[in-house]
Amino acid sequence: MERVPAWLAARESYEPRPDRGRHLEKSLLALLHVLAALREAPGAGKDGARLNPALKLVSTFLVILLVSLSRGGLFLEAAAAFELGWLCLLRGETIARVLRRVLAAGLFALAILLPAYALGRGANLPFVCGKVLLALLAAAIFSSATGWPSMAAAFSTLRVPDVFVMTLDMTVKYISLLGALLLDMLCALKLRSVGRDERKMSSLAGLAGTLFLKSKDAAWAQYQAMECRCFDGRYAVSRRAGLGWRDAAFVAADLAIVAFFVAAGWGR
Amino acid sequence: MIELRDVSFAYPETDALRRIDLRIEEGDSVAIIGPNGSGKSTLLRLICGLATSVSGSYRFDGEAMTAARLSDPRFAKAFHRRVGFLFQDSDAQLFCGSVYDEIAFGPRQMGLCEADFDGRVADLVGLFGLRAVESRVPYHLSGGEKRKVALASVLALNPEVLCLDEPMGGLDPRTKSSLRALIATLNAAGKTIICATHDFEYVEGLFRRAVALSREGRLVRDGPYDEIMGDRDFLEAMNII
Repeated sequence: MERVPAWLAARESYEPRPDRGRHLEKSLLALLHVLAALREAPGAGKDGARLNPALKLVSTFLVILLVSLSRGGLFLEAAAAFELGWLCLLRGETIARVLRRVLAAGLFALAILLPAYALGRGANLPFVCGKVLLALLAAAIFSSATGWPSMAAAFSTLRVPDVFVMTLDMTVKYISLLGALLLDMLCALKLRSVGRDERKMSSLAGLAGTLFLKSKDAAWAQYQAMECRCFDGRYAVSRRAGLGWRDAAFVAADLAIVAFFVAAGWGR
Repeated sequence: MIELRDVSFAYPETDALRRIDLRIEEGDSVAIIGPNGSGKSTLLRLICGLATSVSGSYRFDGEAMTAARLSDPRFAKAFHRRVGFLFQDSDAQLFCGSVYDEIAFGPRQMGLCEADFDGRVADLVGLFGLRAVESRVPYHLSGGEKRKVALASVLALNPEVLCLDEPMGGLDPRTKSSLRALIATLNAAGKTIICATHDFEYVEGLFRRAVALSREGRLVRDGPYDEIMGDRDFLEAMNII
């Protein structure tokens, strides 16, 4: 091995040049949040009642549909009671997270609708906001209470085409894997960004390019591994949960909400 | 130079490091050993400022390395220049369009004059034997070449401390030998080497000191490398060999 050059053996005094922009820190923070949310999802299926995921999926669609069709406040109150009951089955920190997310989205909807109120057409403002909140709440409860594997199982139970389930499953898996790689790449970029980066966009483009190449290679390797294990286009999801008494109670609640919708004059 | 006192670190799911006390002097060469999941990489990340401890204190050259201190861009940049980190996965470290640009990335930011800047890159290309691949895209190089480019790009900043995360992983025997010789040369030139490793065959004689971490992330032994590596009962009990 050659001797190291003199500058590499000498101690260097260095004062970083000031650089504007904190894009790296912001990107790292945003990515960390996304990854944390994705990692949380698989364990999130621990809702208190451990309901059948397919049933949860159907209920979510049903509630969103009925809330969208409803034309009266009474049904919305009933739907809110149903959703709050469902929400109570989740763990405390999950409830807090769901409510934070839903309230933020609800406030956004309110902000968008406020001009209508200012123009004197705000009679329906509470009603529309209520609908938005309830639809978002149903979706947020489902996503928080159902891990990705359970979602795939739910789609499979409902006879959603295999290719769709497989694509969903792989996408989620690779978002997490490639996200972790991107996090490392951003850390590496941060560690070597010791002064003023005159080519910020070029650095970020480099990260995107490497990520693309890596994802292409990973997808190809996965396809070959699947072929080696006799993959024939059918994607079997092994976890098809059965129905228990909790599910029966949940179905009863679903039927009650449908009955109320009809009894209230189709949601009036 | 590096002083960790009662340092603990936890990920959301698990505790990674528990109450670590460690002091590393300038010019030292330390191997961090332990089974998978013992927190070796986490310890390196703490040392190079990519993570901050949940309790305890970390001082670098007498300066407390807190989250608040590291959020000051000027301080963080000066610190990152002094402490280099070689990632386990070289792909995570290479993001430029050519080997030349990859090595030049750091010096370009440092505002060196053209002659110094070119000289640095040329020296490292020569030192690592990368002349033939200088204009190639790093992603398409072999594993050994990628590792060399990654190390060269870190060395271009002339760090005083080199944190190496499994530098021999996935390399062929010849590349391991040449990397070993290079690390020894860098240490002889005054660089402090801190290296997480499993590949004991190729690092023999490279380190003066070893720090052993247990599966639970505790520092269970700290002493001369040869002495610890000679204690086979201990290494087997700790699932290190």
